[in-house]
This record gives sequence, C-alpha cells and structure tokens, in this order.
Amino acid sequence: MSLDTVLTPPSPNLPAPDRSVLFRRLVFAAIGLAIVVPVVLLMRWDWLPDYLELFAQGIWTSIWLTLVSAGVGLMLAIPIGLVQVTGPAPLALVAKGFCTVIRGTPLLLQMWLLYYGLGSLFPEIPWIRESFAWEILRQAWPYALLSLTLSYAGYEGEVMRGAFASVPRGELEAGRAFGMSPFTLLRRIWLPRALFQALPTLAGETVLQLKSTPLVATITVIDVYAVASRIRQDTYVVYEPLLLIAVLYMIMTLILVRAFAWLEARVPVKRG
Amino acid sequence: MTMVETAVAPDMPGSAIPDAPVAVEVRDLHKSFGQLDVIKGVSMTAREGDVVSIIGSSGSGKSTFLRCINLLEIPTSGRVSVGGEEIRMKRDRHGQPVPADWRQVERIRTSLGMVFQSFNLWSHLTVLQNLIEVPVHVLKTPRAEAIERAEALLARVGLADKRHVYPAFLSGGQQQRAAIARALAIQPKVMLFDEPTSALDPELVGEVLKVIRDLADERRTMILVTHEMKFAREVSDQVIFLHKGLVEEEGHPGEMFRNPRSERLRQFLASTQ
Ligand SMILES: Nc1ncnc2c1ncn2[C@@H]1O[C@H](COP(=O)(O)OP(=O)(O)O)[C@@H](O)[C@H]1O
Ligand SMILES: [Mg+2]
Repeated sequence: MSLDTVLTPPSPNLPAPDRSVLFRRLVFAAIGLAIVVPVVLLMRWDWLPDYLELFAQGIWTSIWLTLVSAGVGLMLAIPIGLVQVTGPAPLALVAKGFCTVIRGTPLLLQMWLLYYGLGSLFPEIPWIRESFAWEILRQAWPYALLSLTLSYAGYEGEVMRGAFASVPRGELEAGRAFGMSPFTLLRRIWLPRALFQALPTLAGETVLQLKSTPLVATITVIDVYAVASRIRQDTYVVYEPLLLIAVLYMIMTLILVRAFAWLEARVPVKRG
Repeated sequence: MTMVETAVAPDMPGSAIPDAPVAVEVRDLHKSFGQLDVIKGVSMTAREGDVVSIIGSSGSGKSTFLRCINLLEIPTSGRVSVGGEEIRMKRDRHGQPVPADWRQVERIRTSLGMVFQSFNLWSHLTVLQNLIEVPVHVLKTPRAEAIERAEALLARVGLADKRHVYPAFLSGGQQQRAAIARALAIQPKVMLFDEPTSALDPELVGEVLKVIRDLADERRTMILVTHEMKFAREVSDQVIFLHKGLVEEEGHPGEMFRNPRSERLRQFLASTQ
C-alpha cells in the first residue's frame, strides 16, 4: 500500500465509529507507541538541538520549491495541454514533444543537465556575468526550481490535455449556444471544468513533486534531505536524521493531501 | 390589427397572431455533413408568440435544423434571420460557408434560449451560478440584478430550495427544469427546445412538460423539437413534420393530427401511438 492511499482522508459522511473501529484504533495506537517509545529512548537524538534552525530552513526550502514549481508548472501545463486539444498542429506538436522528452527522461538527469550544462555555460558569456541576473544565476536554486517546474509542466501538461479533452462536449456547446465568445468559454467553463476534473490527479502529482525535491540536494541546494546528509557527515549519526525527515515528509504530504481534499470537496462535480 | 388576408404569408400555415412581427425566419435551409445531405431545403416562419413544433422520426434532421438556427451547425446554404436580422455568411478560403461576423452570431445567440436533450448544465457551477453565468459574464447584467431574476425563475420552475446545489445532485427532471430556467435567465426572444424530455425517466416527463406548457400559455415564442405528440398537439400553433431532411407536411396541429394528408405522417403518427 502506498503512502498516498494510507493518507487519503476519510470521506465526510463516514458513520460514527463503532466498537470494532475503536478497537482497531487502540491497536494502532499501541503499535505506534511500541515504535515511538524505543525510538525516543534507545536512539541518539542529542544532535537535534544544534540543527533545529537548519531543519527549519530545509523544510522551508522543500515547501517553497514544491509550491512554486507546482504553481508555475501548472501555469505552463494549461497552455501545453490546451494546444494539444485545440491545435494549431505545429504548436500541438511542440507541446507533445516537450511532454514526451520530460516524461521520458529522469528528473535527476534534467536537473544535472541544467545545472552542470546551462549553469556552466553562463559564466563563459561576458554580458551575463556583468548583468544583474548573475547574482541569481550563479546560485544553485534557480536550476533546481527550473528543472522541477519544467518537470511538473511536462507531466501535468499531459494531465491537462486529458482533462480538457474530457470536458463533456455538451457543456461547451451550451456555452456557445448562449453567446459566449471562445475566450469567455475557455475562462468561465472549459478551464475551470478541466481543472476540477484534474484535481484528484494533480493532488497525487503534487505529492510526488514534494517527494522529488530531495534531488535538489545533488546540486547543492539545502532542503530537508540535505540537512540529514549534513548531520550524517558531521556526527556519523545515520538512521535518526533519516527517520526524522521521513516523519517530516509524511507531515508535509498529509497537509498537501488535506488541502487538495478541501479544494475537491468545495466543488463536487461528480456525485459521491 | 388588420384583417386583410394578404397579411398572412402563404407559407405560414398556423400563427397565433397572424401579423405579429417575425421572430425567426428560415429560408431554403440546406445542411450536409460531408457527403451526407441532412437538411435539403427547409423553410419556416415563427412569429412572436408562436409555438412551432418539429416532429419526425429519429434521424430525419430535426436537431440539425434547430441547431442551424443558432449556428451550432453552420448551414451549407439558405438564410436564417432572428428578430428581422439576417445572419450574414461568407465563404472561407476552401469555399466553405462561415459566418461573416462571429460577433453578430454571438449577439444573436443571446436572444435564443436553447434547451438541450441532455440538459448540459455546467457541472462545476451550482444551479444559481448556472443561471447567472451568462447574464453576468456575457450580457454584463449587474450581479445583484441577475441573482434576483434567477431566484424568481428558480421559484417559478420549483427549484428555489435547490439554488446552491450542484447539478450532479439533481434528478433528470430537476436538471432539465434548471436548464429551462437558465435559458429563460438570458431573457431570450425565442426559446429553442431539442427533445427536452427524451432523456428523462417516464415519471419525470410530466414536471418538465408542465413548465414548457406554462411558457406556451404566456405566449412565449418557442421552437420545439419533440416526440411527445399529444403535447405538441395541445400547445402548438404550427407543426412541421420533417422526413429525410424535407418538410413532408405542415400545418395546424388539429388538422394535421386528425387527418394527415401524407401517408408518411399517417405511418409516423401510428408508430408513436
Ligand atoms: N455532426 C454530425 N456529423 C455527421 N453526421 C451528423 C452530425 N449530426 C447529425 N448527423 C446526421 O444527420 C442525420 C440527422 O441527425 P439529427 O438532426 O440528429 O436527427 P434527429 O434529431 O431528427 O434525430 C443523422 O443521420 C445523423 O447521423
Ligand atoms: Mg435529435
């Protein structure tokens, strides 16, 4: 069973917990305690106070990389998906090609190509070195953010293509029949309808995006995962930091899943 | 009102008010899909206050004809006028007919309230939002005014308590009544119905027909494609029987249903008993 299914929120109209549910919860609580108590008592946590600030920074980095790359990635995914449904054919081909390349290659590879390829090209170009952008381009995070964004755009471009295509013809036709211009139809009916349709998929994909962020540690960005690596190097403590970040990722995932579930519940396009 | 005989156009067999202004006029309409000729020269005049029913067997071209009126299908040839304004057409590079001005088409469409067989409510909007969508975002009616009118319409079709419900949670009959209210909310000159009860469970047909009958009683101009022969007979001023893309027979419902002149209409009426 994957993490995502474990973390799926209970449906709102769940019956009140009866005795068997109560019993099951007690069992889970007991198992949880059986894990947590030895972890706290038997393992080494003395390093923790020294790294709290770094952890806070790492968590923040993981979160904003996830949210910004998903947000901007979705903005790109919308036109990428749309032109594949509406044409024109040359644009559709470009969009299709982009999705195919992004989905066909590892994110790690894309990140390294950008960072070690593009990133090592820029210093060779004098006018870039001299421009104000250099302060940003010489850092690692722009390449991390860019590769995560393009990756999200590639996967979600495909999702949005499917979502646009699956909006019932009749609902679009109704918009046209009542005098909507093509742009109004897109803005008021087609796009929102497609987004709500895609929401469950986007929820899962955004969780995956969060869990792709540790790759940025390979290009020197300090996210949560990089903090754990740093602690290992500094203190030779291996398991405890990893356990801690596992819990941190689960909490962040839980929050994401809940946020999407809240969004989905707001507009029940489908029944039940 | 003059009683001069010539005021009644000869091609207009039944009209509630014979010299009322023409609401929709269709002249010699043709429509083909590729090689398939679906409408082969059909004319129709609906005057203000008229209820025109279009009947015919499945595949005879009823929907296509209706959809040509608001340009959901682009006629291959022929003329369509709404409220005296003819929809201007031109030919594109490939010689295909296209509207000369889509803005004109969009404007004319806002005076035609379409009701679909499959309701086609916008499922990401509540019932009330469905009703104010076009008034607010196309017609630029002030929101408060649109809401006020929408609530009155919902009360009228018996859905006042459903205004904040999403379409997925309504029965077919409720969805179709909401769809009729949505069409009325644009304050159309003419209502177009394409088999509004064909997708409904039999026990839900009555509630929808009742709403349409009310509209007929208040002398709304309506063009109605239907399989409900008894209903068509009761509410129509004019009935058009389409067969294979041509008008096989047309006239007053009473006469047409009592003694059909053509063998085809006789057979059709017998088959729908
Ligand atoms: N978009 C379309 N493309 C091709 N053929 C069509 C299309 N729409 C309708 N037709 C054909 O036109 C004929 C008439 O269809 P329609 O107007 O829906 O008939 P009715 O509403 O009387 O049942 C049918 O043979 C149908 O298959
Ligand atoms: Mg039809």
